[in-house]
Amino acid sequence: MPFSVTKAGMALVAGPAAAYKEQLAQASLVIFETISALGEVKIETIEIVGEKRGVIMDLDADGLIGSIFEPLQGSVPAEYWQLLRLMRAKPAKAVAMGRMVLVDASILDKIKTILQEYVGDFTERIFQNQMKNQGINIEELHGEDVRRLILALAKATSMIVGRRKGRELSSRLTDLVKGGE
Amino acid sequence: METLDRIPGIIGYAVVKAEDGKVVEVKGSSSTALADLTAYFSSAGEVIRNNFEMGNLKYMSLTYGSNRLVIAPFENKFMGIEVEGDVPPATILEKLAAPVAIEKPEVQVPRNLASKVHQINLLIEEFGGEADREHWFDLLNQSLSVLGREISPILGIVENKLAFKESPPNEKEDDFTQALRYVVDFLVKKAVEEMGSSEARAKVQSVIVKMR
Repeated sequence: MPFSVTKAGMALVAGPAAAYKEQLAQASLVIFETISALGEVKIETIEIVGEKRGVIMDLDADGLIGSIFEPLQGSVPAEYWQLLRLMRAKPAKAVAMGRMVLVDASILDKIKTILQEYVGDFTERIFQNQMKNQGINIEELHGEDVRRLILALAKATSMIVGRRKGRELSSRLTDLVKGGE
Repeated sequence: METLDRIPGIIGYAVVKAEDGKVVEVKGSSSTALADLTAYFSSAGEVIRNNFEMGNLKYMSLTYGSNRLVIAPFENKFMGIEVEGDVPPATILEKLAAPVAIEKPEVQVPRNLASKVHQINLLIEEFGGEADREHWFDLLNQSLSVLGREISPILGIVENKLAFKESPPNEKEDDFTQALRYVVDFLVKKAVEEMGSSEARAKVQSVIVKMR
């Protein structure tokens, strides 16, 4: 039972999923409000599996697509996720590229230069680890990715050289990005 | 909960009360706010579970960046376990269901890596003594989360010692040794910062003597 719901809670459903239209709108609101309360983590997929029914969801900046299903032996059949990825790859990619502004990747070198002042020899390692942790793709760098990277680097820096320095780094990197816009 | 410390693949975990989301325990070397994620999403998951009449919750799973959080109910709590993103939730739930099997894993560690882990344990002992051990374990976990990303799923604090939870893959030996070198550097820098260079140097010297 596939479905699509916008961030504002507008559900697009067909077939048997139509019976859940209202619940889907509510679920979308609950999820995006929860993510907004958490702030710095970019949740990409969610699966919730109960004894009788399960739901899988793939999220992006505009909303989510997903499917309601009956779990097999308590887990999600792999082909359900494959189908969802297929749905996501085709129409949504074009929409996303149109709406989200790409950022010049040279900003990353500037970020690294400033980071070096705070964590010295650990710079390259911390930078690369956070790029991987955040799942950032240099070929398709968005403003949102840079924002998340700055938060992650500030947090890592806080762990290495203390919170005051972490906050200072965050503020400098935020200024850098604003200046570049 | 000690069982979780021994399970390979677990980067970190948090336990919260189902009733009010209050944090019971957070452990491991995750750089994510696991307690907040577990508390907020277990609550959101319950709302969604009720809405869709799913029956009792078996688990929830969230993916973000390169990691995954598997949230499962147990007793009157929720346990949120962070693993790498490519680990299916079923794998981690199976390991939780069969703790006996992972009680005594046979772990083969190359000499280089074993020596680095031994060095780190001695540094923690020297820097923390008996009284300040927890503080140094916290620093160790922080350094693993920030500097030892690739090694943290299979390395952790088990029974008050840093230890491998499973045999590291041979092809990763150099990368892992490098990661542990960074951790050692970090701990020594912290010691200099916290106790001054002469005391820190004396303690590092003592570790060198013990390692001979």
